[in-house]
Amino acid sequence: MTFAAVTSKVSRTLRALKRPRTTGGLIRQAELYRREGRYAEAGQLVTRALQLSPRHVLAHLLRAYLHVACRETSAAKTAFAQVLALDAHQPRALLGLGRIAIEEGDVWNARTFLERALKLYPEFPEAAALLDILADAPPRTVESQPASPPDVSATPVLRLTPVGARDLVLARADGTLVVAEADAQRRDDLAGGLAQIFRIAAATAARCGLGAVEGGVIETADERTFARTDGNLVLGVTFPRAVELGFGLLAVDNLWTDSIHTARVPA
Amino acid sequence: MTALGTASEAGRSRAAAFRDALRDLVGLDHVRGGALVAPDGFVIAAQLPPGVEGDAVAALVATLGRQLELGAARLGRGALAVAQFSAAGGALLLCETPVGFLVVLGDRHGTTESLRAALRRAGASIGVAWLPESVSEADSPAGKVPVPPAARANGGA
Repeated sequence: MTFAAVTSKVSRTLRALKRPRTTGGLIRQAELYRREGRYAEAGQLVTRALQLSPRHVLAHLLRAYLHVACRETSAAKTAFAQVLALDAHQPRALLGLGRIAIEEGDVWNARTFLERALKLYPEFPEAAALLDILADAPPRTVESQPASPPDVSATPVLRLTPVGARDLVLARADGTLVVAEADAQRRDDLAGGLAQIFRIAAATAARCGLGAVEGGVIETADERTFARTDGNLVLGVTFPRAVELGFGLLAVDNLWTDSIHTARVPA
Repeated sequence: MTALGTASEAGRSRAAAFRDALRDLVGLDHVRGGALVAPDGFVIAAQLPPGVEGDAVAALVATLGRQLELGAARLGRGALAVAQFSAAGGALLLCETPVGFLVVLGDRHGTTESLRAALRRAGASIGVAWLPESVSEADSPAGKVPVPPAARANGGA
């Protein structure tokens, strides 16, 4: 056996000796891994903890968090629901379900979960912060809103989109479409999504002491979306990623004035 | 880490690397604070200005980050890179890392281009620090616990 192989074997043995064997030990170690973003390893430990103690509330809660971290929304919902089945007053499970409901555009459920959490713990800063988002949110599920029919549009045609740009939308803070120059199948989705992002950004900026949000740039692998808002309306337009930041910002400023004028919306 | 180093030793250095990346970012001119927030709203590291409630901001940052991810995916725009929001009193910038969302608060005088570049650098260094030696998708009786999408995008397991 080589020196490296011996070293590796000793290392494995030492790790095995240090490996937690109790539910509490497994959860503590999983929490440490979670703090380091080692979600897969934390998940393995939580699974072992739940095998030892299937009704352990904290283990179920941790499993729910790990599913959220891995963007497994459906599994996270199930895990949070299991926490509530074991402890109906678990505020963090209510918060988790409230956050998922916001993510899904389900305002009614989001408000219900967050208000329940706040009723149990009036000093619950996370729940209060998430409720800020819902102040101007539409009353019903974003997904349930019917898309504008492709051939019959209730919104004016703008013909303002700069060359190379697309998905120009002007929406109210609640996600209602005001005007759009975008594919008819996705204009409601664009308006609802943009308004939702700016509602959350506004709540975040306010909590950070930055004041009112005035605009933004959302950069993805392929595109740059430039936006401007006054709190009541939000305008967005998307360019290819290569567009200069200054050019896009200037374009959205011009579009702001023009689209409000064209749509005859009081600014 | 030595050949006999344990997982927790590796973890300590990883957590320290996250804090270092955040400290370097927050130490820049015109930066008021920042935080690294897990997608579930857990605060991994934070250096926020006095009076800013970390847990509340983290819950919002995680929700914002997730909404940006979902919007980009739904509209076929590719993975989220950087989002920047300009406000009356400064700017808020956010990027995705394999660990979670990295957010920075800039003052009114900072140029957004330099802040964006600094945020990207910090996000990249967090990604490098996170890269596990041998993390794989784990099968378990409770089901698979996969690696977060940003980790895959950054070359993680």
